[in-house]
Amino acid sequence: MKSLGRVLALSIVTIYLIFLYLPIVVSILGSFSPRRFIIDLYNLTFRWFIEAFSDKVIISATINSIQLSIASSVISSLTGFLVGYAYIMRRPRGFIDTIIYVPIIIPEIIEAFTLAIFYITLNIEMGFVTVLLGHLTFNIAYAFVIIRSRIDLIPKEIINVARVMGAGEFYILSRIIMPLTVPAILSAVFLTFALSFDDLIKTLFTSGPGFKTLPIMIWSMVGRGGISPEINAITTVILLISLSISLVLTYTIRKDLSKIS
Amino acid sequence: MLRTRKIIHTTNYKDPFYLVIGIVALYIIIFLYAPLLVSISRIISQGISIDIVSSSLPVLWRSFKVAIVSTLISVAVAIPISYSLSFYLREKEKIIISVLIIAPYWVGTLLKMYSLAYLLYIIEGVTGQRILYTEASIYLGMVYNYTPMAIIPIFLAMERVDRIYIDSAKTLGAKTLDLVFRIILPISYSGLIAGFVLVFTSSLGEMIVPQVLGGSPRYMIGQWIYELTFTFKRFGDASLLSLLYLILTLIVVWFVAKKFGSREIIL
Repeated sequence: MKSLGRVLALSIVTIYLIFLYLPIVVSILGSFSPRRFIIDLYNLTFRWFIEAFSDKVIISATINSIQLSIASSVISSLTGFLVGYAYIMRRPRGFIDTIIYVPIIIPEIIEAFTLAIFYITLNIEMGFVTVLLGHLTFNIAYAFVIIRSRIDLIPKEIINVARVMGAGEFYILSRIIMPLTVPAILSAVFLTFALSFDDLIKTLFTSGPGFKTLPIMIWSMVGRGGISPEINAITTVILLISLSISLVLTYTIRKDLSKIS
Repeated sequence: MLRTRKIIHTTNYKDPFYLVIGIVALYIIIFLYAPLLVSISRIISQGISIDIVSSSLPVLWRSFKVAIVSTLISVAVAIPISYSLSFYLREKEKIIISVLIIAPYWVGTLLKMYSLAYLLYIIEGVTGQRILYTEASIYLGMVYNYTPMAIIPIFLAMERVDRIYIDSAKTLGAKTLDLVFRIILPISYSGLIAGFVLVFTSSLGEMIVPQVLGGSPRYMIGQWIYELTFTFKRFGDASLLSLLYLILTLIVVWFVAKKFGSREIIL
């Protein structure tokens, strides 16, 4: 009886996982397949990658995407760490909670739209900076959530002992908290990178005509009803980057969680 | 040994960390709250008129229909999966499979929807059956995109169900269906509600799925807001629609947070 339930449970979960990963796997295979819309596993080729990434517009979009994601990831992780530290070591917690969780709760499209109206009303020319400023609101929130949960795990005694022994604020920050938080800081760096790298909505509303990222390129091609192996090649690159980051991250977070409980 | 759970605080208001918090707060106020106020002022300066609401009723109704139907399907799909995951799998399998389910959640919607469109296109080529750019493909995309979002809170709620209840119910002769419907689902109710709210509020504003899988540009409110803003430059009307959407979201979230506790919603 118990084993029957287990078999059923395993098959439900497996069917769901196949449903979840089949499109991703097929579209990745499609980008290596030499013939359009036919998956030919015997003659894999890089042809579509070379064709897609030799286009000047795509190259500049790639560079834009990389610059944007690195800037957004570095700034938001650093800020997330400092705010996380302040959250643990200082008092105004309710205040931090209120301001920081809002970007996570509000639907992205509302944030993106109001920000666009804000820029339009103030006559700010949209481009790299406006997109970056938009990405930072939710990335700081996510970086903070990840880093704070790690700082929370540090035994408070260590900090108190260090204080009593005469360690100053900067010493505690750089020699105790920072080394113990490195895994979470790295997680935040990678997660915020991935979130910026494949974000569409916020970028679409705040980028203006001059600044294009890879997701925007895909959107403008797909929006016209396009399905082509060149688009598959571009999506494959982004998919592999963000899916691998996300797999490693969820695994580390999940392991941390099971340690706590 | 005396264990302290608190940190010894030293209050010093010249402290640079208040500066950091202050800067972040200011930043969020400028780039989140100020834009909201600006778009509200756009509605007022345009002169309040609800013409846009009545003329976009079909879009609003379609968004609502798509959101509610796909939320119900997503939650219905999420329940057996979370149940199998939580009650039948060993600890190690649980970790691996939950990671595999949650990981695509962080991947951008556009990429997942393009992949799904590509797969449907390939299937069309093989079977000759038209699937892509139909209503069914929009629902498929919505369910694909949002089921993980429903699974996370439902699974977590089921994990918190005390296994003692299950054991004692079994000892007293409860069948599996009794266990599910009379013990597990009632106890993990808050997770179900959280999953429903999360999926409903975010799927209502979806613009990528109907565009990529439906191929229709004015299918849901998100796409309509985008078009009003950038094609027609009707900023006040677009503001009014998005404000309505925001208010609806906040009411639902607030109601559920009040009724079931906010822990489940902010994940």
